[in-house]
Amino acid sequence: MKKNIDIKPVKEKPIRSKEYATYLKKVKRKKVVIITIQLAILIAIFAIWEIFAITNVIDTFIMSSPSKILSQIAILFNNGTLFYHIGVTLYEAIIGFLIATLGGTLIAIILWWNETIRKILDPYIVVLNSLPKIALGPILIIWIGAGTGAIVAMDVLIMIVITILSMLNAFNSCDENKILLLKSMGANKFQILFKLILPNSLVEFISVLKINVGLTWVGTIMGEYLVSRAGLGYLIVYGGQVFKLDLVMASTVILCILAALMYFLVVLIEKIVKKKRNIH
Amino acid sequence: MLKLKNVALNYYSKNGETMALKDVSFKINDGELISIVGPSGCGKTTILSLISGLIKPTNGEVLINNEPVKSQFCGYMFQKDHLFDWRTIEKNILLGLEVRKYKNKYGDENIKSSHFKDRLKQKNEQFNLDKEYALSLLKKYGLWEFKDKYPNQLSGGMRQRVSLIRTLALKPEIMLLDEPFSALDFQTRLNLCDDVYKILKSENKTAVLVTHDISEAISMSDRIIVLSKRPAVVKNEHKISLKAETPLKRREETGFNVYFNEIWKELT
Repeated sequence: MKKNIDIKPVKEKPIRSKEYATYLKKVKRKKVVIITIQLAILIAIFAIWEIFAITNVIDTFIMSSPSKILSQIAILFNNGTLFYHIGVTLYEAIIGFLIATLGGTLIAIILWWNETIRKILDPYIVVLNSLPKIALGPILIIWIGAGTGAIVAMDVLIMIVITILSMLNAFNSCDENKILLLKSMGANKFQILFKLILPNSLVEFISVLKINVGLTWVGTIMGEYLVSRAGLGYLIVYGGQVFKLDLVMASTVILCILAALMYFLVVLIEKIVKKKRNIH
Repeated sequence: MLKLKNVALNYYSKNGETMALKDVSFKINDGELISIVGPSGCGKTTILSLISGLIKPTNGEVLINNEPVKSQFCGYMFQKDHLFDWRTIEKNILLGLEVRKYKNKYGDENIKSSHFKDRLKQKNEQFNLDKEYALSLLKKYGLWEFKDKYPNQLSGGMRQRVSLIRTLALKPEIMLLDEPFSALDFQTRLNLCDDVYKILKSENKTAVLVTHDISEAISMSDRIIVLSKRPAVVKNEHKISLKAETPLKRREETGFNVYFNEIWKELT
């Protein structure tokens, strides 16, 4: 008798988990297939590029080649300027990103707080949003001077308006009755802001982070095109002017890697926050 | 005791002036549970906002124990539970206490010392006492084991019970219930009616329930106030004398249908 009782649950468990295991296997296999194909495409592009370069199907003077890109990166590394240029661009991108994201959110809070200010500034924000920010480049250079300041300013300009608009929209989309609830508890405006409006807008804030982490590279490189003596954008412009396509391509590849790394960092933050908040 | 004396309210907007309430007067005794029914858009919710002190009447007075209302007197319960998704059940219940903790006027009678440190200490002591009370409510009404869960892990009925406890934690003198059951399915609704009724009665709360559901009003209240259509005046008052202990049982009493038909006729 005792044996039977012991065996039963053991017998039942594997039957159920067998199907579950196949399901899990399926999911996992699909994931592996997708990653494999993704890698294969990348490798194929570089391989075909390299083969065409070796067999002289394409002109490496204009098209460059993977091996030339690699040796170019090695040259930059050896003369010690690789990390210098990366550092300059990364610094500008991160500073711009922080100023625009935090500053934009702060301005959005002010506009949420005071409806009159919001209404007064509304047309200015709308015009500033539709204006191509690059048009302000010469003004920035003259006002701020040809240097890091102007690049960061350009970067901030590109991100800040969209940050303000997105965050203001998030603040204003909060359920009126939730505000009424807090008011009926006797909450003041500060408490409404910190207990409700800000935590309620966290998901939108993360999506703003994701947008800005892409836009900050647009702003930084655009700024470096306009005015710079160092940085990846400078290398690209310089390489283009002296027709060194290897340098242009090498800088672009590095830029790709940096942008991807920064994006994944934000995605990681998103995952941690969502897990903490119990959002699926 | 809550008293509305000749209350009138006008709304102003760009499109014109709306007279929501024309002349509304009624009294509610302590521990009484009354319902307000009326045609849709007649200003039932407006009356709750007036009682809570969030809006001021254009004319007339709203008095609690013969004093004009302050918002701290009332506890609100809405159609949706409005639990904050990012707070655990325990944290949701403590929301009101957190809000009050740092208010200057908190418990003026209890906190007399003028020294900042003493005041802070007293505030913390008061907060801990209130917190204990709030947590005891959770235990009492069977939600203790869910205190570390998040709202999206609870069912609709449970969420409404949590929102009721969140309001009770502030020890409001008057509970304002704004169609708190209408977003729920029928089964949950009947059960929750019973639960809320029991909780309100056992805590001996004065409560005003706004609803468009006549059966719900009859089954839960001691008295029903029928409003006319806009601009609203009090059309009639019904004293409900059903004997059963719970709303669900009251629905089965013979007198129930008599009340229903009377009120139904007045509304149409």
